[in-house]
Parts: sequence; structure tokens; C-alpha cells
Amino acid sequence: MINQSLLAGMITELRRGTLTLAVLSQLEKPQYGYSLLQSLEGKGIQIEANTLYPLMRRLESQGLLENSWDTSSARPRKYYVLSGAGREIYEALKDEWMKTCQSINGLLRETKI
Amino acid sequence: MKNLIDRYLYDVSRRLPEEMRADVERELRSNIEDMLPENPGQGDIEKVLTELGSPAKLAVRYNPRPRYLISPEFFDEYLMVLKIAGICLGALLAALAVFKIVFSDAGSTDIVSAVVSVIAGFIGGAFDGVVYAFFWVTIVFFCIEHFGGKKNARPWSPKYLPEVPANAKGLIRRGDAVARAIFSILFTALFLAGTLRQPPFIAWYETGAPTVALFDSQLVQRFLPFFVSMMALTLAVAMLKLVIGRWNIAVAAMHCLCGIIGAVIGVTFINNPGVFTGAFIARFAEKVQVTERAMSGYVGIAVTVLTVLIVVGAIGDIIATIDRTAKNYK
Repeated sequence: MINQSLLAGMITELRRGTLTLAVLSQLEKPQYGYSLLQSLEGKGIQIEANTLYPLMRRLESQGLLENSWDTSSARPRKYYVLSGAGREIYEALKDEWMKTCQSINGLLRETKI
Repeated sequence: MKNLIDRYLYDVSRRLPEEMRADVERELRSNIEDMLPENPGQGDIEKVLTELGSPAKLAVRYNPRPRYLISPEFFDEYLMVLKIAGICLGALLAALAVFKIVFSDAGSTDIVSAVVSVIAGFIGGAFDGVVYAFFWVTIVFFCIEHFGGKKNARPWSPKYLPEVPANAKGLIRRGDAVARAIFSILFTALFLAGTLRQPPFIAWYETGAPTVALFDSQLVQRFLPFFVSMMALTLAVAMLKLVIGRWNIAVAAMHCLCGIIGAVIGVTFINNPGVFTGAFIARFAEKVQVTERAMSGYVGIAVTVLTVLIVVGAIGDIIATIDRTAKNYK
């Protein structure tokens, strides 16, 4: 019997760190909150709105994203796009992720169940 | 229908710092509207808001400020200081409250209400002390947390590790140290109250009212500075024990010093010729039907026995303390 709530907690924890990477990867071109939510969901990334919106704001306050309000359409929207610093961090983070994946995959292939 | 969204946005933004409220509200509103279909109904709005979840939780995610007074990093130290400060300040204010009652003129005459008021004063003072300690320790830690630098500015090294006591006997039990201090302070306070209060309640009672004091109040008055210093010293030693938590040389020395000074004060006090009032001895002699002269002889013997008990007790305690401490240094 798998302890479902324990498993759910671990999965959430495992995903948490990858969300930043997922968000940064999608912001070469400006996006607003809901458009990013949809494009992530369309690519199989499970993220909740109440996680994504505060996360975008935090990345912006850390200087990794730049924002601009588009008030030309009927509904004003806040667009976010990678800043110079954000692009550098994203590239470094991506390398780190690749390395981690390689090591972990190596470990997982070793074990036979 | 828009009403629900307005209420949701208000409930989120009121929990945020002033400077980010307007922007978060505007952004969140446009996000919510994006999530809704064209011409949304009440049910659509409720569904989207439920998906976003509780405003309190969402606000925590938006809020860049720490959501606690005392961070987990400081919490252990906070608890420890809080306990020590609570105990010390509680004991101190309890002792002060008892003194205030002792020396106030508005003393009641019968023993029951006198004892009750002393005990009530003790409990009230202790409570005040704990509340003050909580208040000030919390404020000080809040300031350290928010205005002080990083806690671990100095990198940790194994040389900061504490010594492991050789065995459990070398540890000081907190309850013991506290109980000892409280009882000796309470006992001294009751003794002083019973003697210096007018009328004194450590006395000879006739038809339920105190008539003649057991102890000579002028003598007690002269010894008062020593008794008060003794209470302060007891408190200081208890504090030292709580802070250090095990029998090391400093704690053992202070404990023995406190014991020796206490014994010297006690022995000097009871060996004063006039420590018990003549009138009390006379009444007692009359009651048990011996001559006053014989009674004085018995009192002399009792004083000698008491002196021996005090000295033997003090020496025994010193030997036991040295033994406990020595075990920590083997």
C-alpha cells in the first residue's frame, strides 16, 4: 500500500524547483499570466494559477524578468519577458538541470527492481 | 456578480504591504478575467476563485516579507531565553510583591488573611514577571531578527561544540534549581512577613489573635540587609544553574558559596541572645508548666541542635556538590 498523501507531498516537492526553470524557459517572448499558464499546461507542466502568478512576480522582483503593462487592448495585461540577467541565469540553470538529469538517470538505471 | 471578484481581490490585497497592493490587484484582476469565459455566470466566477484558493494563502505567496516574528533560526534561543527570563523575572517580581505587602501599613490583623495576601501577592508577582519577560524577550528578539545582521556571520566550527557531561548526575535539573530558589525565597519572605508585619503572625496566639511575637523584630530588622542579599544571591545562583545547565566549577563554587553564606547568616541569627522574645518564652513556659529559667535552658539546647543541623546540612551539601562536579571532570 502506497501512502498516497506522502507520495503527493514528495511529488509536489520534487516539482517545486523545476517550476522556475519551466517558467524561465517560456519567457523568451513576452507573456501574461494566463497565457503562460495555458502554454505550460499545453506542454504537460502541471502548475496551479495560485503558484504561477506569485512566482512570476517574485522572479521579476529578483531582476530575472521585466514587465510592461499593455493597456492598448480592452483588458489591460501585464506582460513578462526575460531580462538580460534572467537569460544568463536561465542558461546556467539549464546546464545544471541537464547534469542533474544525467546523474539521476544513471542512478535509476543501475537499480533493478 | 463582479462583486465576488472585488471581494476576493480586496481580501488578498488587504493582507499585502501597502506599496504592492494596487499593482497586484490590477494584475490579479486581469488574470482572473482571462480565466473566465465570455459573459461569465456566477458559477464560472466561483469556479475560478475556488481554483485560485483561499485569499490568505495566495497573499502569503505574494508577500515578500517574512511571515513570522521569530524565525526558526532563532526560535531555540528565543525559547531558552524566554524560559530563563520568565523564571527569573517571575521570582523577582514575586519576591518584590511579597515585600510590598510586608511593609505596607494596610496589614490585616488575622493570620489567615495575612498568609492569603502574601500568597496572592506571590502568585500575582510571578504572573506579572512572566508576562513582562514574554513581552520584552519577544521585542528584543524581533529587533535582533529584523534590524540585526545575519546570525551566522561567523562560520561555524567544531570547536564551538559544548562538552558532553560525563553522566546524568552532572546535569542540573531545571525543575530542581527553580524549586530550590522559589522555596527558599518564599520561605524567607514568609519569615520576614511574619515577623516585621504589624502585628506579626509568627507569634503566640490567644483566642485566635497574635499577642507576642516569636522573633525579636528589631534583631530581624538589623539582619534584614543580609536576608535580602541572601534572596538575591539565591536568585542569581538559580539563574546561573539554568544558563549553564550542568555542574561545572563556577556553578559548584557559586552554589557552595551561597550555602556557606546562608549557613553563616542563619547560625549568627539564631545564636543571638535575644533572638526569641522573653515574653514568648515566658508564655510558653507557663503553658507547659516549667520555670522560665528551665525554658531558657531548653531554648539554648534547641539553638545548639539547630546550629549543628545547619552546619552539618551545609557541609553535606558541599560534599555532595563536589562529588557531582568531580564526576564531570573525570
